[in-house]
Amino acid sequence: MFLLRALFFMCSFCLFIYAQDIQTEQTNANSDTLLEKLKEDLDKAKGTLDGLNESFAETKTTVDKLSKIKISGYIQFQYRMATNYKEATDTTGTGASPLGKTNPVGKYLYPVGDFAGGKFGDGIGSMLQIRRARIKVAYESKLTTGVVQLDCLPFTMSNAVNSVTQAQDTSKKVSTTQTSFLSGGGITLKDAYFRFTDPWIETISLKAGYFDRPFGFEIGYSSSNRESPERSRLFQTLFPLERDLGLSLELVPSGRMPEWLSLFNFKGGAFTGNGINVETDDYLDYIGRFGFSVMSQHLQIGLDGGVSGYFGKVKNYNDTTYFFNADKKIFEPSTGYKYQGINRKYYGLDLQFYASLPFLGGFTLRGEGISGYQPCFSANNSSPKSNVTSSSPVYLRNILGYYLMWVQNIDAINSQFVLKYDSFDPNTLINGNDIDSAHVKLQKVSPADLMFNTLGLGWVYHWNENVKIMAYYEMVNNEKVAPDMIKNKDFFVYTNPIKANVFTLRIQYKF
Amino acid sequence: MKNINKIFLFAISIVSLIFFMSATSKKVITVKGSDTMVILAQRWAEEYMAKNPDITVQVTGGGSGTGLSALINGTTDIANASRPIKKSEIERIKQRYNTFGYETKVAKDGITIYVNEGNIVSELSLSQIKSIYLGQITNWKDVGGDDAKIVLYGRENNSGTYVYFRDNVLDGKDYSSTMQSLPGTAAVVNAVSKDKYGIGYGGAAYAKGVKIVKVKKDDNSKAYDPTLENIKDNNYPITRFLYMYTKTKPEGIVKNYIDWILSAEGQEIVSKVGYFPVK
Repeated sequence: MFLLRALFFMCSFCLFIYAQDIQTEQTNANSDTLLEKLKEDLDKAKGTLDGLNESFAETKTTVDKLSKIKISGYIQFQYRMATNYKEATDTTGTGASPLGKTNPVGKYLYPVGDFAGGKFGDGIGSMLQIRRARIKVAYESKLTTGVVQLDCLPFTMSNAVNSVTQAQDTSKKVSTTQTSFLSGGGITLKDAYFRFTDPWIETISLKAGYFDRPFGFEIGYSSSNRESPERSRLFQTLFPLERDLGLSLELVPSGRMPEWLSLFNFKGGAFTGNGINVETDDYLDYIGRFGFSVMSQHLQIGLDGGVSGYFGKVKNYNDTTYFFNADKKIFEPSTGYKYQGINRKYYGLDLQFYASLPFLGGFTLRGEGISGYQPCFSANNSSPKSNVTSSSPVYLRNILGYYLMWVQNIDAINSQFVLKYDSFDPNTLINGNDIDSAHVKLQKVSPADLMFNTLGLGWVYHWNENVKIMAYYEMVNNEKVAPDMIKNKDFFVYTNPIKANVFTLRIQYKF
Repeated sequence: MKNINKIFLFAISIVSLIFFMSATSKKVITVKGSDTMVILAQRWAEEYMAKNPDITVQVTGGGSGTGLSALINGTTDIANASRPIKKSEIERIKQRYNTFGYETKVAKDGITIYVNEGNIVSELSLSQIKSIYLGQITNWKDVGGDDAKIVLYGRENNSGTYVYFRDNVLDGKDYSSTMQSLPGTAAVVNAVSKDKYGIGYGGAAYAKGVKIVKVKKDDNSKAYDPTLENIKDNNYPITRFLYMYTKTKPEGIVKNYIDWILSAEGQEIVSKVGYFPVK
């Protein structure tokens, strides 16, 4: 019995061992299969990951390229009102002139709004308009930039620069052509330039194309940032459309340069002097500004500024050039100037002081002045802005203009208060009182020789980073001529202060 | 005259409306910017709000550039930055606010070089780090490690750390195109902790689960860890300040907050988080 039990026990034990062996073999076989499967899966995942990495690298390359393209722009929608519409227009149909000239009722006696976003048309005392609608595309890499900016002007803007009534028939041809250019509407080119910066000290750049002239402060100050609706009268007159075609050298010290050097900068180059249009003469205009910028971040004060120069020529298509005789107070003709270049020279100084007031915020006081010589025409004191070729004789005037501006931030209400005064005297050698009925014919002067001052008051509210609302009121004052000019058809309106004040309410969306 | 009256009435209405809209009492301080400073900024905010229950401090990251853009756009009161403000950013502040931005140094940081805990490399010279990130050294064996390809991790270009590292370690040169840009120091640390042959850089406070590499100024110098003593003694070669920027000199509740950050209490938090006090 015992033996039987022992035999049974041994058989069971053997069976158990055998079963264990089989199970172990099976487990090992399963583990191997699992490992192989895992390896396969891992290889697959690795392949997928490699594929994703490649795809990521490709996408990154594309995104990196695309991130160099920057699109920005702004739209300015505004309402403008000629607040003295009735006083500025002919309400009688007689031209309000002792000469008895018949005008339609509602015709403006003098230009209104011409430096405040465009001249009001006869019979129009207020208007809604899109003042600027710009889109800028820039491709920016570390050392190169290419920019194209377009402007869309759906409204006819009239002549934004010619401020004066046509006095001498000799200049009519010029003026008509310019007005036609400005009122074209549609899409116009604002900027088209490229810039290369040296790779060694990243300080010297070469810029070529169509861009802001490097003169003073206000020209380069973007319309989207400016606290007044328009630039000062002197800049609109001397630098119409702000841009010119040319080649410029810029020295703006980078962080690689000594710190003291970064206080200074220089921009200057050669330009056609014709604004947007093609070159019409052999003369190049040389424009430049040497600037500085100092500040104390601790004291929160700073001073920026610069001196600028413009040295160019305007081609005379007429044999005669008129020079102003300061003693006699008359324009005197001089012959032998056909196809000769008449000097266009400006000297400028600009300063911008920055500081902060407790509880209000930062403020800036800006001032800028220009004097020089302006070759233009009898009834037109503005610089050429297109390839106008006129047979009218050139009139050379001594000019002086300046503006002073105070911009006070009121941070608590996201606003800015603005006070601006600008003055432009297109002929410093004659006063308004010198223009009288006894001498005016001999003097050969026109309203283009009169000085205008403008006082502006404004409020800018920054709704958010995109939207800005501006309310601005500007009051225009003119240099008065002698009272006896009341009988002169060109000057009678300037015997008293004109009523050309304009209120502007603007909403700007920037993106 | 009638027209002028209308205009003045209109102007007064607009001004009144604006005052009315802005009349809400402000007890919220918004802080935005450097990802390096997010942990620190959050700790400051928590402590300050606990002591001043009527004040809310909202902290978000996004990078130094993002913070400074928000300051310029008026969407934050304080911009945190792990690099000094750029000239172009000062110009934008000047244009909008007629100020220059006001800088307050709130902490010091040693930019830390991270490698995986399994990496045998324990020290690097500045020139080796530079060559690695310029893509001139691509194998660990060239700096005393295994024979394996170096995998570069770094920050995106809106990061102050990215700019500081490029300007001060790479001497202004561009990073190797093989560097993987990640959206935060935490992401860099995470990537390096999982990649045996990865290398990354970032704030000292984030160095968890990775190995900190000692850094030496040149091949003949001694290598140092980014510790308080080494940073104080200027032995650790990659140090920088951490900044808070406001539009102008801080006033009101913002001033109180920054003053508290610079106090012993605020600076103690700097040490606790893993950065170095400025006072």
